[in-house]
Amino acid sequence: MGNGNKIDFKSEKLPTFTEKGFQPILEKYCSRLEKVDLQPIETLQGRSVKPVSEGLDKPFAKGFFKPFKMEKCEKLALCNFLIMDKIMATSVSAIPLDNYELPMLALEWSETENIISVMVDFIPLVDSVMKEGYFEKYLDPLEEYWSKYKQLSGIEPLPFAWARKILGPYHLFGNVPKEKEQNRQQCLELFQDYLDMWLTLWQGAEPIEDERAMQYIKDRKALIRRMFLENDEGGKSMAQLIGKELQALTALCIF
Amino acid sequence: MILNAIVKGVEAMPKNIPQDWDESTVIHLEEETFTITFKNGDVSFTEGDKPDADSKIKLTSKWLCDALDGSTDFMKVWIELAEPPDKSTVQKGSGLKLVTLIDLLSSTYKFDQGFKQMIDRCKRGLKSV
Repeated sequence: MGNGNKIDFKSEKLPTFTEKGFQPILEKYCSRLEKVDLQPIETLQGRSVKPVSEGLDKPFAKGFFKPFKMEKCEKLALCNFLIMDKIMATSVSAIPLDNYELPMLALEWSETENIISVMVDFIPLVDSVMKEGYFEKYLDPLEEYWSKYKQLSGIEPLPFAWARKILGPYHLFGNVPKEKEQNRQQCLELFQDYLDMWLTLWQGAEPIEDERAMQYIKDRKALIRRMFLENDEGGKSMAQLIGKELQALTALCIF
Repeated sequence: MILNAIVKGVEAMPKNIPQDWDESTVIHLEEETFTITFKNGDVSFTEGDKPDADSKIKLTSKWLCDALDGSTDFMKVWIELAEPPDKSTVQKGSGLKLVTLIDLLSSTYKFDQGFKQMIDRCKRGLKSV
């Protein structure tokens, strides 16, 4: 690491795959996150994350999964990896602490020669019907971006019912054809806009003191984690590519 | 038969199958069925079904040929086999090992003329829908 294509991030050098012709999505993320105080996490649940945070290099999967400490959050995680030299997958996820009603951030990007597959969402940790004002404060700000980007070519309903159960009302998913520069640019902007909005809400988030509300958030996060680990076929495929132990470590980094 | 072409392709492809893979996958096409066995870093093939196979995958010949010659973007190959939205394609087990085989064979298609010709011939011979 050390050539001009690698990005610097708080003195951490994160490898990208833009030299292979993929879109500079990781650079985009990191330029937004530069203003946030993020400190690398080295252990989670007593396990060192170094096997995946300092670079995973297996025959069919190469890249990294890096969790960071962040104020108001359990963690923010970045991952960027290449599957079989053909699919670049990158994501940003953030999980708030139990005493913040801020939604979870979930931004996923997978890219091949011809397609960008995107999934963006603010996952609510509070019942947005029962909690007055929650929808307006934490979800509705996405309305203008959702309305703009839902028209992007390839945006379609997410096929997995178990995931739709978890996601928020302003999630977007699709397989966007890369042939037009406009499509590629809009995908980058989609990620940037959702990330920027989440960071804005994060900055303004205040802690809650209601013990029952905090327990609800804790329980809901635990359930979302469990549903994801049980149902995510991508994770099961990764386990076959890199081994169950390393895949479990990547899941720990992300969730 | 597509199986003959795939056997030829496997002979020419780089041997990158992980040593610890130990799995059998049945591929059902419209006019042929064969079983792929991954074991000790190797890939072998037998005609017909294997009732106790770890995975069963149902594909069309056209889909498979398009995946092997690169006509289908790899994202669609991954989605169909590694993260299938329903059970119509991957009817049992996982399609991930077939994805890796397709990855290796699609690269082989680009440099091995013999394999390329066999796949192209298979594709030309497919009955039109």
